Amino acid sequence: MTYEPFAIGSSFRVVPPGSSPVPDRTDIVMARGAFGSGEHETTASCIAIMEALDLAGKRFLDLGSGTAILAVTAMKRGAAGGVCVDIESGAVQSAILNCQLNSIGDEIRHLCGTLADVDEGGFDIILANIYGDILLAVCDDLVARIRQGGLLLLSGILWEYNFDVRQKYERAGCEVIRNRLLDEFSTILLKKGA
Amino acid sequence: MTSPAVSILMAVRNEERYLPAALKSLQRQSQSEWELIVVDDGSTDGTADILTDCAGRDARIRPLLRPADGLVPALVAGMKNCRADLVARMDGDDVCHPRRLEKQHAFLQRHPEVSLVATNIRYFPAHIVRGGMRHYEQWQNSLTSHELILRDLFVESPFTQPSVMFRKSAVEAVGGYRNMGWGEDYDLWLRLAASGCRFARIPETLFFWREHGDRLTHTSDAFTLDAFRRCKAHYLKQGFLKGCATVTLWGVGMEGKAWRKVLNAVGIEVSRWIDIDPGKIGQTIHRTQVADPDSLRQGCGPMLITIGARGARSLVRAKCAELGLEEGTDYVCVT
Repeated sequence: MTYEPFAIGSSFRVVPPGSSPVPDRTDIVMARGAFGSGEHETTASCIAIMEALDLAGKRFLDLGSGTAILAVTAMKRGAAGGVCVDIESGAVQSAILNCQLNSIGDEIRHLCGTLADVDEGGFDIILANIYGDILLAVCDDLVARIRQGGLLLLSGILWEYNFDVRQKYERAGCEVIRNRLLDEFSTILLKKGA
Repeated sequence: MTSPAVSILMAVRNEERYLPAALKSLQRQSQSEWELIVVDDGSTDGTADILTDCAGRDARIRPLLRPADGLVPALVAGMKNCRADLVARMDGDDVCHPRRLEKQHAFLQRHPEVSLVATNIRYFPAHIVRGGMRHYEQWQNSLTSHELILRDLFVESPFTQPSVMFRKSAVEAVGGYRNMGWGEDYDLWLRLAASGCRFARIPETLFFWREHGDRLTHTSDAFTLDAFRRCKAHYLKQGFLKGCATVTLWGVGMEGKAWRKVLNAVGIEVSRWIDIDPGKIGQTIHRTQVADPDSLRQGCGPMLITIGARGARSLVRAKCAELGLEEGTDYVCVT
């Protein structure tokens, strides 16, 4: 199934396989998936924030990776690699395919499971575009997985959870760098141990 | 001093845990011309300090610190201090969408015939909101017009109080908040309805209701099922059942029997039971016969639908329509 390419952020474009490149946009090739194809406001919000971050050589954890669009974006921004984890096996298969379409190989490890199944820590950045109540539940474990000075980009947070998520992560030792309130969801960028 | 566009009325007691989130959601409102009249009803935790601190940094926040006197006296005191013509209720443990006040204010400006506008609501956190509350949320959000709200007015409270905005004059005209031993909000809605006020709902989720164990709806006697029935019976006696000494109840289960007691207490006897259960038809319950629904005829006296089973209401409405019975004239659903 194909779809029309669309711009996302200020420098990226989400395109189906086989699309011709354009000069002013970096293509993120995505087979048609669900949620993470970029049309959702939270994905777009995350990518817009990632465009302003220095990700060169960084290692990331993408929790609830879905189609892996955020992981692919991180790689396009120069990240060294990371771990993608999703609880749904279909999403993991989609993530593997999308990484292949973007010429990403072993740099990314794909796991089907939860945060508890991730056996590493010390990440430079965590990408977590999942529901606010889940972010509240995994706060301590998630913050523990990131190095001092590392970043957490949390999104998919429904409006009503925004304050509670910010408060919990601040109490876990993080500082809110940005808090973007969208039509229905919100995106929070935090720094650990600032 | 000019009046703000909206007065927000809030009463709190020992709300230090969730109040900052509630206040933040108000400070993020796209409609910034508001005042918050927040009555502290004798808090013993850090609530008063939070309010005083916020008021020191935001002149729109106007705390009234009072000794503990109960919710209704707090709301009455707060209403007296509301300067705007439009009052938005809010609770200290809930969260508003940032465009809630803007949209409700604009709606009431465009619709001068409407006295109260609600919004769609969403309960959270999702993992602790039980099935019954989700059902209530869906039911409330389905009441998308004045007519649908009135049709189900006696089923349950059709509005989540902290989600509404009303005209102060309309509420004052019916006597404002009163302490009647049942939910002060439902009591107010029923009085507004009886006075002919029009209601509306903006079909967007602009209010988020926080579920937790300390909610007044879980802890106060005013919000028990029996209190709700007594409230309904009180207003039914002034309206649909005015001048009636007897009534038919459709539904001989626990709910029907509970309604019999409440109606007896206001001087109305059950003269007939209706039920579809063949095991009950023909029986005598509390000296009254149980009949089949097919025995119902137009004009045979007022009937209340007292079936507790979820989903029964639509089936009963369909049957009544088949029998030529008119809702609001021949019968009212109270469950």
